[in-house]
Amino acid sequence: MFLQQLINGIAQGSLFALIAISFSLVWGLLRMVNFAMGELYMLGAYAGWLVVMHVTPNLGVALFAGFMVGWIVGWLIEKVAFKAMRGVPHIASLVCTIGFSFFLKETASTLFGAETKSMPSYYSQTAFTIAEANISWLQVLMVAVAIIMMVLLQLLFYRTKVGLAVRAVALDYRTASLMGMKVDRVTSLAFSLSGALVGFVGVLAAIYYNAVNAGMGFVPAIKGFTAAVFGGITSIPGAILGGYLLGAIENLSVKFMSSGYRDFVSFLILIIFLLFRPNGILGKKTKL
Amino acid sequence: MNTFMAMPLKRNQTPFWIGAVVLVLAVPGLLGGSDYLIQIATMMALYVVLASSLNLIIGFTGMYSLGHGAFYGIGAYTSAILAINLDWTFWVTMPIAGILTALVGAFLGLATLRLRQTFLVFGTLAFGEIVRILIMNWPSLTRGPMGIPGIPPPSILGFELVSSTQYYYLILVFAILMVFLIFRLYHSRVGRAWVAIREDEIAASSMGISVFGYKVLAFTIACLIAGLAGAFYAHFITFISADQFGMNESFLILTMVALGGTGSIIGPIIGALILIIIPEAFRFLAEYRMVLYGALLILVIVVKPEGLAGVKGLFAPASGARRFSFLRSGFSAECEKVEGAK
Amino acid sequence: MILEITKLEKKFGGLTAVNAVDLSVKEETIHAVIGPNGAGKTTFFNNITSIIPADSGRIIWKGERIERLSPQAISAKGIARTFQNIRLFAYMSVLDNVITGTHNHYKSFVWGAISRNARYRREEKESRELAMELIEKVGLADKRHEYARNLPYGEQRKLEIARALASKPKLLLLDEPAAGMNNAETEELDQFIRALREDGLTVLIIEHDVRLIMSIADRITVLDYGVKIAEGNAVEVQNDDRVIEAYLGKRRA
Repeated sequence: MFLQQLINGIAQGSLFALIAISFSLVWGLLRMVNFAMGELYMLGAYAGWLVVMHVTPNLGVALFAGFMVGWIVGWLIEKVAFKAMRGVPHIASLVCTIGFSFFLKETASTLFGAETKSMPSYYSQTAFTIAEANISWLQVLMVAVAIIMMVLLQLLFYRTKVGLAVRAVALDYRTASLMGMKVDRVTSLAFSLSGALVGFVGVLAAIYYNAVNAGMGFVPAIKGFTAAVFGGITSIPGAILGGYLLGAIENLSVKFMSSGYRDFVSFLILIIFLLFRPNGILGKKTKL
Repeated sequence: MNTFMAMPLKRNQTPFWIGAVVLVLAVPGLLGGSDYLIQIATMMALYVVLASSLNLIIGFTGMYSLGHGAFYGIGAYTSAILAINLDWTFWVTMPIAGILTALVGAFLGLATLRLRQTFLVFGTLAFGEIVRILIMNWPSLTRGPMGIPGIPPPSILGFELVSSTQYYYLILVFAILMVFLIFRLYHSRVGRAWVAIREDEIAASSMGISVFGYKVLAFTIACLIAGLAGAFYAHFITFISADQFGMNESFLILTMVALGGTGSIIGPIIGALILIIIPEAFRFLAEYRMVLYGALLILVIVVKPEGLAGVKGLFAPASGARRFSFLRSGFSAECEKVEGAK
Repeated sequence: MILEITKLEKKFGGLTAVNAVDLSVKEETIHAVIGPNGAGKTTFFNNITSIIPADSGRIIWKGERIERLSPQAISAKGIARTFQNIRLFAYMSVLDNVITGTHNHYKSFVWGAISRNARYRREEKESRELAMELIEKVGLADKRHEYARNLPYGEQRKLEIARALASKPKLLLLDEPAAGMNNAETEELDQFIRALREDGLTVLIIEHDVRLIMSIADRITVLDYGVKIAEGNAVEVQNDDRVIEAYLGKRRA
């Protein structure tokens, strides 16, 4: 039972970790939070669902659709909430993305209806059984995909020219722009990428939980943010660590308290870390 | 910025306010006694209070809260539980609800108001969710997801207030009192300290203003008023449940303040009136209500950041800091550091 | 000596912005702190007012150590300041800006504000009168209902001084008050600061306008790279080799 919870926690942690990376990507560049992250996740899930139901049952195509929708909408949000508002204190951008969050959620709910759509299951057969704990192929896939994504991101950041530009901008916006870097393009790219990442995660989550609805993004987004703060929002490894830890803690906490309090644990961790250790476990000790 | 409401202090606004009060007093007559319309008017009065109280936090002091719906809920639940379980009268439970909410607010404020703004938003949001989860999972006290029905209406000198017109006047008096109270606070030494903090924390502290103390004060008073509003709501609507006080509620109140205008007395009032009227006036829009709110919020912030009747573009940059100001990390103290080090 | 600073030090990472600076300010004098750009003058002011507390060193104000106090406590002790990069309350009227400066001297709080009791009314009246007096003194009386942000630069500087004076300080720190002022305004400022000294105020001033400094300062301290390199009256400082080198030497064009 314990082991099973831990395994579920790790699988879920992969989702949190990927969302957390998206948060720290944007944070690292702009010191901003995209509040509509959960809705990008939800839109990705709907995109995946539409593909699977109406186009092709191919999972790869569905994941790609989620990725693309996240990319496009993420790009759009950056244009309206960040680019158009350059020079305005960033709390305005944050509130603007709160507006986006509600707008997208309610639009989806009027477009697709309020009821939860069910997603066909993929790879739900048991892959391994360790001490009575079952690991499904899907869980293996989720962890594998998460790890591959993280490795790809690391390669992108540390082995490519684009990654170098992103890091330069994150380090010092002004100098980077004086050096002739296309700062706008870099931030726009990072923003779209973070959107694409959560869109992609949305499809995975839709399959894992076998459900798609308009409100599905809110809680995972807050948890992704929690995971990022937990591990250290300024570092991508921190975000990953935070994601897996949060997934494990949350699933194990069910043993100690009623499942109604499941989300409670995450919110509590968020508040406690914001108050006492806003740099997270791995974050650098800069004043945030 | 050229509206008379936006001018600081001076100008005599009394005739305007007297006119407004006379007008709202006449509302039931103008509506021809339609219960439905009077109920909407009552909700407007209630939201005027909620939006005005959030404006203390956002517009006057320059902080943010996404937990205002939760404070509203704490007030409603406190009053309802006391009235039902202990059979106390509304006139006792209502102030208790307000004070308890204020205490919770003060506690949260003491803990979180040193956070940078972005984190404050998430801190208050997480707090709001924690409140909702507690309400849902504490059935012995709150009846959990079933909500609390049958909350008794208040009575005045032995008369139970049952008709919607009576209720309208009750809540109207409450709303006028609260707006008046906020108005007086705003135009006082306390209000100046708040605005000074909003404008420039460093300069404010150099003037001898205790920045943190005044922030906690604003937060506490805003929560007190939201808690009182919650009590009035609970006894008016007679049935409450956790989902009435969730994120959507906090968001709705925030949108009212942002749309109507931050930092002025009239702004949140206008915002509350508009956002209650719109969905009612355009019934066919009812299901698109939240879509509309979201779109409105985006539009207002991008196009007219100070709202329809705000004093200051809340989101407008401080003077002289247009370019690159979005790169500032939180408090201007750090900018100062950079400047000092340069 | 009204203010005595010993071995004040402040580092930012590897950079020592203020390096073991000693400074004594005599009551009712005008004491200037000058130095090339980046000499650490503003940081020095920020240390004194605790906006950025110093790492080490002592600040003694009228025989009492104040280096650990908060900015608002220091303001309550009677030290007021202006800022190099003007920090007015932009969306407050000129009058309200100055009234806010009187914050320290009054006590009425939430209840006073709501009830408008006798004390509240007396305090409001007093603070308003003081503020009007100061506004007239700096020549902004007819603009008292304007938002501070709508004033031209020179007037914003004047308003900031008025706001600082509203707290009835014993020591006034002026951080480049003449920056952005034309000749006539600077001349006016010269007279104004002298008048403050006559009224019993002590003034510590950072300024780049050498003519102004040489005209009004009783004593001048020169900082370079955070280190005090010279101190004395105008003539002494002007003839100091290290000062000449710091300003004209090869190190800085």
